[in-house]
Amino acid sequence: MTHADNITKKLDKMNFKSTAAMRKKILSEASQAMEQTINASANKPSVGRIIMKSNITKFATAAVLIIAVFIGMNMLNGTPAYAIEQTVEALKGVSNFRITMKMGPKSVDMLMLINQQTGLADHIRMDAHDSGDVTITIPGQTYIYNKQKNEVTFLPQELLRNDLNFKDVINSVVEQTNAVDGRIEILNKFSDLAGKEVVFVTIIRKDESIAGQFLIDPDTNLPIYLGIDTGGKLNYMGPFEYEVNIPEDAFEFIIPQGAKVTDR
Amino acid sequence: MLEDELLKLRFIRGNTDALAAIYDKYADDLLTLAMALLNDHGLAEDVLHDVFVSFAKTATRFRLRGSLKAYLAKSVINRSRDHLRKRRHAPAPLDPSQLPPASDPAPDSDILFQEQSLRLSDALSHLPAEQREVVVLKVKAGLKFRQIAALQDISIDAAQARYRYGMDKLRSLLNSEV
Repeated sequence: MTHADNITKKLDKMNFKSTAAMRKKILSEASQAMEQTINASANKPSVGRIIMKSNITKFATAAVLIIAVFIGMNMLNGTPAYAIEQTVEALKGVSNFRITMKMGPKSVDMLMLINQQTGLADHIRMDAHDSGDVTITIPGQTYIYNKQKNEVTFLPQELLRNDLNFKDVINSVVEQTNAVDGRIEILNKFSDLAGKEVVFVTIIRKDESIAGQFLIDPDTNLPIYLGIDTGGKLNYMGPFEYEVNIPEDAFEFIIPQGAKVTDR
Repeated sequence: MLEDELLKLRFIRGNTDALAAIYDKYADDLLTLAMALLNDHGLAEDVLHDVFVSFAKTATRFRLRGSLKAYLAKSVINRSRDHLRKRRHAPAPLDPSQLPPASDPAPDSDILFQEQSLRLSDALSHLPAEQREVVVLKVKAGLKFRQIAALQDISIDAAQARYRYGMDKLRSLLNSEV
């Protein structure tokens, strides 16, 4: 046995044990924290309600959710949403897209890579135009750059992963579909926004108000704009650009000169 | 692995028994990892506490495709790094005169340990922080050099070199004790 093997063996045997008292204390506090989280989660707004928030980050998150829903619609067999299966099919071939979202003076560019196996947008980059802030989230890691503070924060997890879970999102959409009586209207007409004739896919609530709207390009069958109801008015994001050229360093975590780094 | 997947599922549903089962399965390994990195009973206990309380707070929104053990180990590493940054210097080695006899746990410590483990922890504390971390992550957390390199933001070759230097120094430290 070499010295290195010997030391490895010793290190391998190195062992500290928690006592019953420590176990009791930690588990008591952890269980309490867990219960608080569960209670808070029960009161948390549904994905549908989150969409109505006007905060730009929430808005971006909402976009991701809706996009995730769209990408995942092939799983919605039997629901009204499946009527737009041409779009669903077209989306299956998408490997990346970029979207610009505007909310008042703020605008955010989002670039997403779609994992072809899972259908999840597992690489996401958001660039906020007004602040210069950058957020990059990839499997297992998130990089957040706050330009004003010149601070980089690393998180050991994906930023939007939980919200991107199809099961939850689809459940929420199904709930929403039930809530709006499952009515989806599909109509071909000219769109000023798109400057051409497009397919309007509109989700209409029971009270006949509009919950959301997708504008589909009939040439590609892909969504080019997405409108979300924000207090009675549809707020559109887009256009969606598909299969864009991605800079080599788009998903690299670059630490700017002199930036403070926080690793959480 | 399957056991962990079931534990994760029960944990996501807010099952406190699952949380306790995860604690029972991994607490000692995580505590040992924290001790190896920090060489400080109080801080290691704090790290274990904080990791589990934070972990518990993720219930209902916790999604993990990979290994639960690796996830928890990385949480320990991150929190230990925070403590090391706060200290802004290498952890102070324990005073050997304060070491308890092998079979006698420290009276106010909530950690049960053996003298051999304390000696190793002490020896590790003499390594430069980056070498200590590589050695501990490799041997105690079972991470691959690729993963360690990513965590330390260095090349795989550099991680392997730090491991070799760390092991060499550890060997000479332990040999000089004899």
